[in-house]
Amino acid sequence: MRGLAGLLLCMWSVAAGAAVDEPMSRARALNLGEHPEWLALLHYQPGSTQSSFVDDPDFFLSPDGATDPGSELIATLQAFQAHAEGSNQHARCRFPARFAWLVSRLALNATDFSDPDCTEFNDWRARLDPHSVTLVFASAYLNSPSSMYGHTLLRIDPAGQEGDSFWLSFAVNFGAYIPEGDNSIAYAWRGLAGGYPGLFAVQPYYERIQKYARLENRDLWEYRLDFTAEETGRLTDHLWELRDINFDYYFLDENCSYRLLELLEVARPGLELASRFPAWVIPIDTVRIVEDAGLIQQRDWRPAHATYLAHYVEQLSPTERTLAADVAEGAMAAEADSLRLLPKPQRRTVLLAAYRLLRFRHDRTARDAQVAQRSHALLKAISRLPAVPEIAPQRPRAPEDGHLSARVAAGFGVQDGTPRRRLSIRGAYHDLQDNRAGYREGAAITMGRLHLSQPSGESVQIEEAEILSIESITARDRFFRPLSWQVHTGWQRIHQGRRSELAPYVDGGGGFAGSVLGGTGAILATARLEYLQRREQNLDLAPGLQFDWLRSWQPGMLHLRVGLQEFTRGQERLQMSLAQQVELGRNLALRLRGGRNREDGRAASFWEVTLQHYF
Amino acid sequence: MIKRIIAGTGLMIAAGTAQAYAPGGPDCGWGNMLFQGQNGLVMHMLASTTNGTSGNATFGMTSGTNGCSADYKLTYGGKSWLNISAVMDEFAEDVARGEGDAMNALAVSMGVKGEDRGHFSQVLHSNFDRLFPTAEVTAAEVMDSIVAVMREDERLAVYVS
Repeated sequence: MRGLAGLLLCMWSVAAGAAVDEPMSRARALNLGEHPEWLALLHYQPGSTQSSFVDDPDFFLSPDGATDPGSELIATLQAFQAHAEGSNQHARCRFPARFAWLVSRLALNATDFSDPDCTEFNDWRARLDPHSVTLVFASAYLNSPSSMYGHTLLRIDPAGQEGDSFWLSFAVNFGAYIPEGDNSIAYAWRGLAGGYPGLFAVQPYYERIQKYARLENRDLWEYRLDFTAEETGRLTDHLWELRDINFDYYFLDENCSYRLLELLEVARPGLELASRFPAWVIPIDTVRIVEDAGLIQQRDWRPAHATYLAHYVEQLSPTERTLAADVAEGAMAAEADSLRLLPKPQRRTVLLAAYRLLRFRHDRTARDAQVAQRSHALLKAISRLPAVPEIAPQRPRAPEDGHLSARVAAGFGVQDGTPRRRLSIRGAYHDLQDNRAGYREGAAITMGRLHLSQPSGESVQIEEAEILSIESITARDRFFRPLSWQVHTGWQRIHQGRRSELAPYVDGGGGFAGSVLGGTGAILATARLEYLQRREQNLDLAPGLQFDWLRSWQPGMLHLRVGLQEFTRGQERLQMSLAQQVELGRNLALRLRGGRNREDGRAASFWEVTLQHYF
Repeated sequence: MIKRIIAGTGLMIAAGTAQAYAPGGPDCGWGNMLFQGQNGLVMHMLASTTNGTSGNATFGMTSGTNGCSADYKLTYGGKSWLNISAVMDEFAEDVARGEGDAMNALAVSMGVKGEDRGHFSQVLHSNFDRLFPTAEVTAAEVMDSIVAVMREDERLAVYVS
């Protein structure tokens, strides 16, 4: 009915020679400029009709487009009416999603508009061939702190997707555009301060697989969304509008995750996802939001190359492991007799492990003729063996099923004979003892943690205020040789007998870990810079040593830590603690912790029990 | 089918002749050997921490890192063949193992039907030595051999004839 009315109106307006004005006055009458779907197309901030996230004049046709969505709508309509001169630059070619939306909202007839030659857009769209959308989560990568939060991107799958041909899909990534030659210290600052422009990039999905699964060894989780081909098409059309368009890229809030949710909202009008985001955004929350909205149809896991390597190694006996490493390192030929004696399926696994190890070590270095020869010889040997179906690596718990990112803990304890109440709150994300499901063991990152305590009969005091803490403890063996390392910074209360003081500090350490007594033991050399008022030399540096032992067992993580520091002016500090997490549910746990500290000869014991809730 | 022959032949000729005619453009990496490795690690790490693209914001207009232009239609039915020079290592491993995503993606991009894909994998697997005679073989040579091997096979010849 509306279509018919629209058609009639159009005929009337063409007849009246007022093709431009009529839709405009109707758009004004309907207040389309403030329609949520129009605001979504313009990336206005949630709840705002005055400010767009887009920081780029190329995205707007009206000079006031970034602050006045109504004027942008009128300017857009005018631009669509303009004669098509030249190709590709016409507004219809640049803003296909806006065009489709306006035509449908105003019940206009697309053929009444000039029909420019949008070859670029049409070719691009044909190349993507959008049919369905998959949300992809790249999980933590051990040696890169920022990656511990993970990363999300979208994948646009073509029609007729069969089997594992996702290599032919396209990845949609929102990230910072980093000028060539920038260094990583500048990144850290600019990433937080919003110094890099954020841009959408579209590239073959296999390039992302190579980047994450092969070069960075991050497992990929793929969540197929229940979007129709029409919705996927709308998303793709809008994506085209964002080509080369700058957003301010803020690492903490306006990051990859937020932008992707906006795209999904455009694809399916009425979805409210971006507004569910708190100020502080962690990529895995994207997956949770999408899951809560009931959009996930299917969940797949794409193991990283290192995950495969570990999987092959697990299937080998100690002797076979030695063989695999020997072959990878070139100490033994791929066709050596000691290999030939193995039964074929076992020999195949040894060769696969050797090949993966060799590539694992050399994938990120420039081509070396010898290594290439050895890799080739290994593949050749593998190809001689019958292709048997392989046992797939076992899928771990999905990251979105892990505990939530923020944590509050309350409890009581005794320190140096004085009972204390304790309360701590943490912004994000995971420490070495937190509930394990969905997280990588031995990897910890904390951003923003405040720990208060109240000794009985006294007022509340700050025990610790941690800005940032990263810890990585991973066992080394012949196959994997990661460094274990840590950095912390913030304020920490230093107790010495009855006296105590809140001291700002920064510390770091590096060392090695190995399998010890059914757990992981680590030894780290540390250095701590600390400012203490009562000390003669306020700012002092302390080299030190730290031992860790981590064990995952039935109730939860058990963690023993002993740290020894000796400041340059002779002050000595020994800290020993043992913590046991008792997991009570996905977002609930009890933590028992006790220990003994010695500060300049004065020793004091402590213990505490806290109930932890993740939210 | 005719288009396909032209495309296939074009590829073979172009690979061996003037650069200007190289499929996918002059900077396209058909000369890639196996195990090229990765350079510029620092930039790479930086890009990974910001999840960004460094130096070049791509938009799916080209087939990516190795400079192959999307304008060259090595295709029929609107689909490009998977550019194996970009995935040589993965592809070689798949052929050796007899299965895998890279090999499967090539099959799909060449239009090999579902019921023939297992056979496609098997044929390539048993011809590993011919496809990858040395570690110095280039992507163009590999592609050449794939087409040759397929032509000799009763069921697969139809996809490259």
